[in-house]
Amino acid sequence: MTKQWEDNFEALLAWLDPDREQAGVKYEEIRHTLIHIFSWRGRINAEDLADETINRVTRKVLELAPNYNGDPSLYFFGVAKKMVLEIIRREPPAELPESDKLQDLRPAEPNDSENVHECLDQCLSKLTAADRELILLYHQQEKPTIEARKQLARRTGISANNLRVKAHRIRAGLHKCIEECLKQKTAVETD
Amino acid sequence: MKELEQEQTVIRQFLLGELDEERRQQVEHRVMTERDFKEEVLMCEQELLEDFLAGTLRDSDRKLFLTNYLSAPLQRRKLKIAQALNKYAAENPPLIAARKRESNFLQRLIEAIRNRRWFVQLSWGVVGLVLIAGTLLAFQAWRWRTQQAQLRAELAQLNDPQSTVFEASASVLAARLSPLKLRDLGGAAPLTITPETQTVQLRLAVPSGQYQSYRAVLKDSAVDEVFTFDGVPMRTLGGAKMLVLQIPARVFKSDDYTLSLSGLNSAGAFEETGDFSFRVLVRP
Repeated sequence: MTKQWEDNFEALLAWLDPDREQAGVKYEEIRHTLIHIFSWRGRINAEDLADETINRVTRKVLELAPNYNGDPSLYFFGVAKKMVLEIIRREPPAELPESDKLQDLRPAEPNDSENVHECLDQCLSKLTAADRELILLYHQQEKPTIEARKQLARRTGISANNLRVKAHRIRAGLHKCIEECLKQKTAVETD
Repeated sequence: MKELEQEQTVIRQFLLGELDEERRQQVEHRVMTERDFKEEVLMCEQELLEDFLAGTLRDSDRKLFLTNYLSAPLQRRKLKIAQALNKYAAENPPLIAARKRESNFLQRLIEAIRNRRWFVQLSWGVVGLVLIAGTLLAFQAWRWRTQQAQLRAELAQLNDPQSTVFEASASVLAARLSPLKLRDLGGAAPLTITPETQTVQLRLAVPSGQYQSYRAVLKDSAVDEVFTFDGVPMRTLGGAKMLVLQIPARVFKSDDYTLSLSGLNSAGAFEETGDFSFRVLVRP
C-alpha cells in the first residue's frame, strides 16, 4: 500500500467521522450495504464491486471531502450506480439454471452442509441462553405464521414487532459469526 | 400499519426483482441512507427465505425467487444458513431439551438423597452457595429498585406540568423526533451527548385522537426497557402544541433507542399512538 493511498484512506475515514472509531463503524456499514445492493442486483462478485466502489471514492476523497455537503454514503451510492451501469453495458447479471440453484439446498457436497452445521452449532453456543432459546423457538415452527409468532411474543412478554426485531438482530449476529467460521474452515481446508 | 404493509410489499418486489429501475434505485437509496429501512429490508428478506423454505410462496413469486433472488452467491448462502437453522431448531427444540434436563436432574437428586453421606456433604455446600447467591441477588435487586425509584422521581420532577421547559443549551440537548414510518429520505443524525449534557429533551408531535394523558416507554437496542413514564406533559413551544419529555442524560449510553408513545383513552385503556426511533452517541 503506497503512502498516497494511506493518506487518502485516512482522509476517507476523517470524512466519514472525526472520531476514528466511529469512522471505522461507518466504513464497515457502508461496505456491508454496498455488498448487499450489488448482491440483490444478482452480481456474483458483490464484495469485489463494493471494494472497487470504495477504492474509487478513496482515490477522489482529497479533492471531494472539503467541498462536499451532506451524507457521504450518498456519494458512495452515486459511484455504485455508475458502476452498475458500466457493468450492465459490459455483461448482464449471471443467471443460473433453476436446477443449479436448487442444488444449493441439497447436501450434494457433504462437507459444505457439515461445515454450515458445525459453524451454526459453534455460533449458537456463543449466544446467551435467553437469545439462543428465543431464536430456536422462533425457528421451531414448521410453517411460520403471524399467529404463531404473536403467541411466541406473548410467551416471551414482548410485542410482536419487538420480537421480530430482536430475532433479526440475533440472526444478524449469527450470520456474521457463521461467515467468519466458514472462512476459517475454507482457509484450513485449502492449506 | 397499512403503510408498513405497503412498504413490506414493495420490499418483497424489490428482492424478487420485480421493480423497474427507477423504483429499484429509490429503494437502494433508502437502504444506503436510512439504517432502520435497511434493517426492515433485511427482515423482509429473512421472511422471504422462510416462506420459500415453508413452501408458502405463490408460484409466480417462487419462480422469481429462483431466477432472480438466488442468482447471487450471498443469497444462496443465506438460504443455506436459514435451512440449517430451521433444521437445528427442529432437532434441538428448547422446551423438550429442558424437560429432558429436568428428568435427569430428578433422577440424580433421588440417587443423591439415597447416598446420605455424600448428600449431607453436598447439601451444606449448596446451602452456603444459595445464601451467598441470594444475598447478592437481593442486593442487586435492591440497588436496581433504588436506581429506578430515583429515576422515576427525577422524571416526575423534570416533567411536572408546572416545571420549566429548558431551553436548548450546552447542558440541555433538545431534539424533535418524527414518528418511525414518516421519516424523510436521508435519515436522522444521532443525538450526541457530551460531558456537559445534563438533560435530554425530546419533543414529539401530539398524536391525533382524544387522549387524557400519555405514556412513554423507552427501550434500548436489546429491546430492554429503560423506563416507563406516565403523564408526558403537553407544552406550547413557539406557538405550537407538542409533547415534551425531559430525561436525565445519564440514562443513555451509545445505542439505538425506541420511544413508544401511547394515549390513555376515555375507557381507561392505553392505545399505541406511535414509535419514535433515535440513535444516541455519548462522547467521553
